Amino acid sequence: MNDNFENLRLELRRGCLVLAVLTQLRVEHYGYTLRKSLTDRGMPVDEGTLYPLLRRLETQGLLESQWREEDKRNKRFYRLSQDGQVILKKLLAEWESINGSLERILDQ
Amino acid sequence: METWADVSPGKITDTGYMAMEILDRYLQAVRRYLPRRRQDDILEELSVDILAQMEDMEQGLGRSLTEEERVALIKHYGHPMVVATRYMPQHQLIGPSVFPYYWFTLLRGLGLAGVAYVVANGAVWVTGNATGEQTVQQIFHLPSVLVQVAAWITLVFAALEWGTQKSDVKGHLFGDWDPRLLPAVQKEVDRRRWWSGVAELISLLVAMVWWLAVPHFPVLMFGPAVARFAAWPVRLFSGWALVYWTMSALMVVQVIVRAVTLARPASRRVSKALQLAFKVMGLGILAMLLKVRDFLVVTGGGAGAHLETTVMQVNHGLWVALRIVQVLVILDIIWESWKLAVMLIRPEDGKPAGSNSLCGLMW
Repeated sequence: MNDNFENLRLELRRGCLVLAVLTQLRVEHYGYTLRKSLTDRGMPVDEGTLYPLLRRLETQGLLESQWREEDKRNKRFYRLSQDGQVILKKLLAEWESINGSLERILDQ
Repeated sequence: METWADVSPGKITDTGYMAMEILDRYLQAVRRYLPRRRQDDILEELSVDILAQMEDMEQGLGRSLTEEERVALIKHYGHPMVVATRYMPQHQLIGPSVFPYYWFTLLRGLGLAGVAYVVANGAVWVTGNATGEQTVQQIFHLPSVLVQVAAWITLVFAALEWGTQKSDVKGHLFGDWDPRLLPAVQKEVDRRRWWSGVAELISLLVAMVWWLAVPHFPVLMFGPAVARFAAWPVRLFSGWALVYWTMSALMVVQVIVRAVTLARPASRRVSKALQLAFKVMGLGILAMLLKVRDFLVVTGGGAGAHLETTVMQVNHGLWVALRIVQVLVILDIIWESWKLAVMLIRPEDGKPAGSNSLCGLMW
């Protein structure tokens, strides 16, 4: 039973992760600070999941990245691209719609 | 307190241990599995993240991390191969959109390959062209044949998966389809009919094996009397080979069709039509045989009048027997044709008669 719940819980969270990441990247972050920001807001994400996701979103043209030196280390900073901003807006609208539908379903 | 923030590559700590060594070893291991073009980029990012985590932990603890704590943190990050695989563009050999077609093809491919292998090697065995040792070797060779078939099918579908990821055909593998073109609803296959079909297939197989074995083991047809017949100076009529191989081909086709209809049950109309077709073909072979009056021919001179008389009687007996069989088969064909005609006129499952195509019902 616990295993079933865990699997379903992960699936549910996985579905929301892209939206959470894109939303956070309205402001520039590098991987570590992004992960901390998500964790502080109740959306912990595995580093093994986050970094490949960031690469994938960048390949899809939704993110832009830049290497910069900070605190004596080279860090890769990500932020939303123009296309990413457009997609995020649409995803947020979709999220509102799903949320609304779910609330109506749960109210029954 | 010396922390990871102060660490630079190659610096020796108080413990005499290369502070970055364990991290470097980990990154080196991850590098081995990464795509070559993006190795440096990805590893630099990973290195920054792991170091940042270590710094955070040290700030929280107010002291340097022990080696066990560093090892635990890196271990939590994940095995190098697993971490690297997440950066691969294609995460599965065959993805969820292609998998159903792959699975369908694999099961049917293995089934057909198995049947074809058994039939082909069975034919070699019954014709006496394989020794016992070779036969045993062929039996143990079957799994490796099936593995090869599975490997080729998997390779083709992995290439298809790669192709669909590169192009835009994902989700459109079957394109537009029309539910109206799907086969008509069929009643649940009667279990008894299915088992009866299995029994029929086994009988057909046994009959085919017997038929193919008879030329090499005449005792299967003539029993103990074969020793006596062997001494007679007689042979079969000259067109016997043609009749024999035509009959063999018909049997093989029947076995294959029966096996296929067992795996994919066809409508009763289709089954009846196929059975009728085979009977008509059998009737054709009978007609070929009946043109021959002398099935057995006395060879050489010096055969006694007694032998010639016996051979004449045997030929006549065979001819009469075949004639009777022919009449019975004709009557059977007439009766089955009548039943099929009635079936065709009467609607099947509420649909107009003749609306189900052979291919749609079979497949």
